[in-house]
Amino acid sequence: MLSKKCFINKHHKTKALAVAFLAGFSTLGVAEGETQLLWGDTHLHTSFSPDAYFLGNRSVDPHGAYRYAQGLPIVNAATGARVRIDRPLDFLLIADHAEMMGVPYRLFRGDPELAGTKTGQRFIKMVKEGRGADVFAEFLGDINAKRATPEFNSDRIRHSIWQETTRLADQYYQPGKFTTLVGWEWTSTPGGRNLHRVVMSPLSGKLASGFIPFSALDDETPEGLWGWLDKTSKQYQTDFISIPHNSNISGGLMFDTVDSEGRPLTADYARSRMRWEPVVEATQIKGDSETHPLLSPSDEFADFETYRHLLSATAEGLAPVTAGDYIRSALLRGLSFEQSLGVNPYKFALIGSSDAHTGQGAAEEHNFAGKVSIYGKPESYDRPVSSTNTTTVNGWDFSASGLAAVWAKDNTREEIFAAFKRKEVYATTGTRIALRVYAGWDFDRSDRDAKEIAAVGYRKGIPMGGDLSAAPEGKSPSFLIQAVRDPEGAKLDRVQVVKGYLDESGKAREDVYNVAVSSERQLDKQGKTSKVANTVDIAQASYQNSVGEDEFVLLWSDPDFKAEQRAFYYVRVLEIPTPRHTLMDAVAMGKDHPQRLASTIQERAYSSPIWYTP
Amino acid sequence: MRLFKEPLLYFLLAGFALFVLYYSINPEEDDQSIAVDENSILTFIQYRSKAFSPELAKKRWDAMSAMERQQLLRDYYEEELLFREADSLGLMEDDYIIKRRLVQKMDFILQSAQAEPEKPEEAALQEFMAANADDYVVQPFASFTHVFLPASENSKAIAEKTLSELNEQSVSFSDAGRYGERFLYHRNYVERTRDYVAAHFGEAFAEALFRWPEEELDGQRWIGPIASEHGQHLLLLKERKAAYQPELEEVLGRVEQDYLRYQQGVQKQAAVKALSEKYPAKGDAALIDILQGE
Repeated sequence: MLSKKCFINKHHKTKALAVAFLAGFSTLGVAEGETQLLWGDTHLHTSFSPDAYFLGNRSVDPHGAYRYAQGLPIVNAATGARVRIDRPLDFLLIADHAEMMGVPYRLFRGDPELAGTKTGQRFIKMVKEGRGADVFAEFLGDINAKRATPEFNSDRIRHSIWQETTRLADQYYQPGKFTTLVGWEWTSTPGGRNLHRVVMSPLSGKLASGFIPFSALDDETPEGLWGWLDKTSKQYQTDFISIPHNSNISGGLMFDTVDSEGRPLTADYARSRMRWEPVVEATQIKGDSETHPLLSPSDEFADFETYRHLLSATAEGLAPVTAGDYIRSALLRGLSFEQSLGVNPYKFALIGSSDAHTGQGAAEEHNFAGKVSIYGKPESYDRPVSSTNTTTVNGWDFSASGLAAVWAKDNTREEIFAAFKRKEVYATTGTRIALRVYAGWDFDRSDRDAKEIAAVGYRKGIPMGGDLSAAPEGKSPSFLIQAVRDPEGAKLDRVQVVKGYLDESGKAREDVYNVAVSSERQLDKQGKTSKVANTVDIAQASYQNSVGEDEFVLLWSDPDFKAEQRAFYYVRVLEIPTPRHTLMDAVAMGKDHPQRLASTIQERAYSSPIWYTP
Repeated sequence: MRLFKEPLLYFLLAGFALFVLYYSINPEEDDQSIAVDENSILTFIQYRSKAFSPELAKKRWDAMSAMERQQLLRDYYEEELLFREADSLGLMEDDYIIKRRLVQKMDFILQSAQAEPEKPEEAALQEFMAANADDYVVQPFASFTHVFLPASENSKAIAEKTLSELNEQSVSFSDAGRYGERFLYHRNYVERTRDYVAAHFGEAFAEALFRWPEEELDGQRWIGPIASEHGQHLLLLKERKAAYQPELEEVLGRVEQDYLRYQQGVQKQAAVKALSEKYPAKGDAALIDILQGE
């Protein structure tokens, strides 16, 4: 197939206007509401990330990653096949690990400073013997234990690879059409427990090339990272956002009740955290962190793409499930802390992103290239990531998820960053459901019929990510919600509102309301309904859009609202069941799908919450 | 400046540099002595610190204590001595890492020769683009607004009536929102590809739109109704373009990138070829045929 999108060099902006007219891009020429929907990935690794490199991605560097996201074909690192994304992204943040960024990439290209070291030579030998995965395990172990070979971590090496990264970000940036955000991943994993963050900057690559990205080898505590962000943002007169991810494998540390020193959280801690961490990645390849059946036993959709494999070569057993590990329980903890400290440390928006290490930022079930390149071929799904890992994770376990949806005023670095700051962003598990949520006190039923939902939403309410307070006497907040299915995906099963609140005794509680279901079914008095019909043909790995809804537009007001209770509300939209990526692979290979995993999934969108504070 | 694009020139320069390097390390072939003077030690400091500034090296040297100087001199002398002995024992032979390193150096020399390549000439880009025309074909696209009438028993009749009204009143692009109902996706589609339109309205709709007779499209007149699975649509089409081969200037940046990448490959191959006369292949004739085949 031919290119859907044209690559335009930044230096030819005047011509870009002419070319932009010819290409399929997301910027609408005429405003529909005040914001437009942009799709992107803020968490993609290339061959510059040491783990990506050791696990088979020797060739897809940032050039390849940007080209793929823009819809141009590239060569898959594992299979050598020509591949391309089904639908291009509007923005991309390449988040290579700051720890040893580019070191293996350079080592095996013969950088004398790296190849000359004892460890370097040993690694080269091991990779030649086909023991790349063991090198990876040792390398990761060294980073985790903070005993990295000093020659590998010199400022010269770090700065020179960072200059390359930032230069390419500028080269591929096409304002209005395709945005490259400068960033990296800070990869702190104390005792195999994941505290990772993606750091996002609104800066140009040119300006950002002045500093060296802060790594977990510099400081493995989040407080240390925030300190560096504070100092550097002042020095460069800029801002940063730090986006935690994979709380599901943090062993309770991600949304803990104590700080890194084990001291109870303080108002100062909460303020620092909220200064830098307004957004959390809720869903990605290493599983979904919204909630877990053990935490939300009455939520029938809580058991979705769970993943509990700690990031450690020596860890025994599965990651624990505690309130510190999942999004919903963290938002609830936030309310409690707000009550006791006066500041909510966990008042964050939600996005999805891939965390793919293949340079291919695609969360498409039918076009999924795996987490790491060694799973580029489904035949290798049974292969464990590391030969020393005791809780072996393999290619079947990964989820073809997620995407970051952004309601932005324009497709530029500044506007996307601003949308993250005001939390007008949401998560999907890879599908492109368009979701608008507005909350206010004055919506009426006729607003559902408005020609422009966004126009009335912004006029009479506040969008997702915002705050309500001071409820007018006798009123409940109402929510104007519009969910439109992915035009190239499955129809919609239902819309739900997830409410978290503190009851009279200060205890954290959660409720899930079905607020709209597809027209084949009805809601009973308790708000329950039957499961949507499953149209998936397991033998063919296909489905029919014969059930479900194209669009829901609804107004819902909280029937259990109490003006004196702190609460948050977020919207969850479910698609009808579709084949999981692994089912397509199993069918293609003529193999049985592993019993322990679901072969169909209900893809979903999570809006960012709206908070009510008395 | 043509001369500077010539890969052989860089080989000659590189060869000369290696020659100079060799003789600076081995001033006289039979002399086994190791030069210990300020010049040698400053060079050593620069290698060690990976900062190639003689002034800086001199500063560091001057700032060193007597003990530090002694240590550095010993390091230098020992390194030099062991290197010489290793060399005379032939340890460089059959060392694959050293071999790869030298090959890498040649690659770097080639690459650095093009670190700041001159802008390619237009004629070369034109030629390159023509040879790879398929890579640059632009998909068909359209820009339009539409009035949407949801599917119902008489939506076709309502659509016909609305169409005459739109045309009688010459309703403009920006006023389209006053008519019809909300469509689940967008009202305005600007510069959208055929695939995109088909995803939102269905294949039959896209086919009808992209095949609508050219003479009925003047940018003023409303056309339709065109049916989708959602209902009837009346369209004001501002622009429609079939798939076409773009002019160079429309895709200049991308062609330049692709061309430079291609050029790097070509230049390296040319350099290898030039050198192959110096190092003729010898041995199995059948294998050599494969090696040298096109």
